[in-house]
Amino acid sequence: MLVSGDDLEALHARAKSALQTLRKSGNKELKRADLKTELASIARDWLRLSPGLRDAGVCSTEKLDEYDRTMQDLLTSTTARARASALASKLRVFVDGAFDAVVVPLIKYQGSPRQVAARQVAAAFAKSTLTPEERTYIDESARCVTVQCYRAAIIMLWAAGIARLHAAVTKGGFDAYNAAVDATSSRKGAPFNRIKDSAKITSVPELQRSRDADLITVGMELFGYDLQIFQELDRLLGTRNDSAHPGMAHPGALDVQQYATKLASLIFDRVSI
Amino acid sequence: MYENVEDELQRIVKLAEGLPELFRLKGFEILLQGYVSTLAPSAPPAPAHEKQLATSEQQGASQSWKTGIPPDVLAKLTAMAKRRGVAAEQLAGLFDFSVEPFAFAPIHVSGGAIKERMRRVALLVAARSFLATGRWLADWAEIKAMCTHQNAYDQANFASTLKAAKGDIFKSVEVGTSVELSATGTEQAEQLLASIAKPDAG
Repeated sequence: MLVSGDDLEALHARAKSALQTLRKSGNKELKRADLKTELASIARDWLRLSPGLRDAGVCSTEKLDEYDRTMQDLLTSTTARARASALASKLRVFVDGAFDAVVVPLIKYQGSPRQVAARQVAAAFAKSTLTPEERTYIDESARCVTVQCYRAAIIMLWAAGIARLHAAVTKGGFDAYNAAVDATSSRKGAPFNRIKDSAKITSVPELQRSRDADLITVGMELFGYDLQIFQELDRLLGTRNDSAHPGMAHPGALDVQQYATKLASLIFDRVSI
Repeated sequence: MYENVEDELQRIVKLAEGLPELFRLKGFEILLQGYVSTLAPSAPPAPAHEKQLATSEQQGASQSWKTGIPPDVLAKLTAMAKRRGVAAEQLAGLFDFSVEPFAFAPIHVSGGAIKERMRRVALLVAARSFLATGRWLADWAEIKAMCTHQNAYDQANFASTLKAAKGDIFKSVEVGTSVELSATGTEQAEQLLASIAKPDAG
């Protein structure tokens, strides 16, 4: 997982402060246990977050290699007798170079409009209490935005919405769902007349096989939203289908953001589990 | 036709001699070419259909700046430009719409103190967010990134500088998350954009 710019800056500030304290000890052996503990903690924290930086490719791997080696050396040195100046020389490599080589590139990466758009997609659901399954889909959608896979992002968002509807149906029970199917199919005209008796279900696997279009139609009875909300949902489903099938649809980052906002207000704000 | 050629040539030679040696020959050629073109008879007026073609080409060129701007963004950008008395094209020129999502084109955020420049960057980031999403909400990391880009990042005082403007240009400041502009802030952000787009506007 990629560390935040704020956290990395905080680590760099800790290293800077520790270096200043080490310098005061000059060439003597470092005997302060609290400072040794802090140095070991800084080294461990760096070594823990370094792989995330490497995976994200935000800065030079040579620099990461250099700081990894330095921090590993520092960690080893804190377990043995060592002069403060020797420890300081190791830490100085990180303090002097890491801000420009790692912190600034990370700040620029995390502040790029693409990363901002991805965060805004996830933030659209900030008010909702998400299940782990829903969270997974939304996070995946946000990651799709960061790599400009906007159609995939829309598909993932819709999957999150359907996960919420499935969870709500399961929680309410299949009898309630089947009663809603009966009530819906008894109404005249579109879209009610497309709901057949075969839409009834008695198990989760059957729910998983049911059509999304049926689910949002029956949702009018089951979750109490009106025809206008249904039509909005139907448009979102249409956009999802356009994204999933070959065609000329070409959504952009702003489309994904708008999709997320609508999905959050139409499903997540209305259907609680 | 050639009454003044000698005088003019002498003048051109003199001007070319004033140039650094590396550019002397090229400079002479350019000056001579310019003089000769003034002697050539002017072109006859273009036929009407050519004029029409040229007009439609000009119109096409005048609309070309809209290419790549999402319709929602264009509507907000045009309205803002109208409010601030600048051409929408000039305002659009502050952004790079060739990337998805759109970003700032190379701009310079001026200002004396680094704190002032940080606040200006926050206003600009919020303005970009407004054009994209309709909300005057600046992403914390984006402000920080643009501050580093503008050489206006003060690590120790970044959060405190933004927090200090809460109640003035910022309605809310969520450290590590976002900054939301107040009515004063939105006014200043629009003014700032306009002043960068057209330095004598505002």
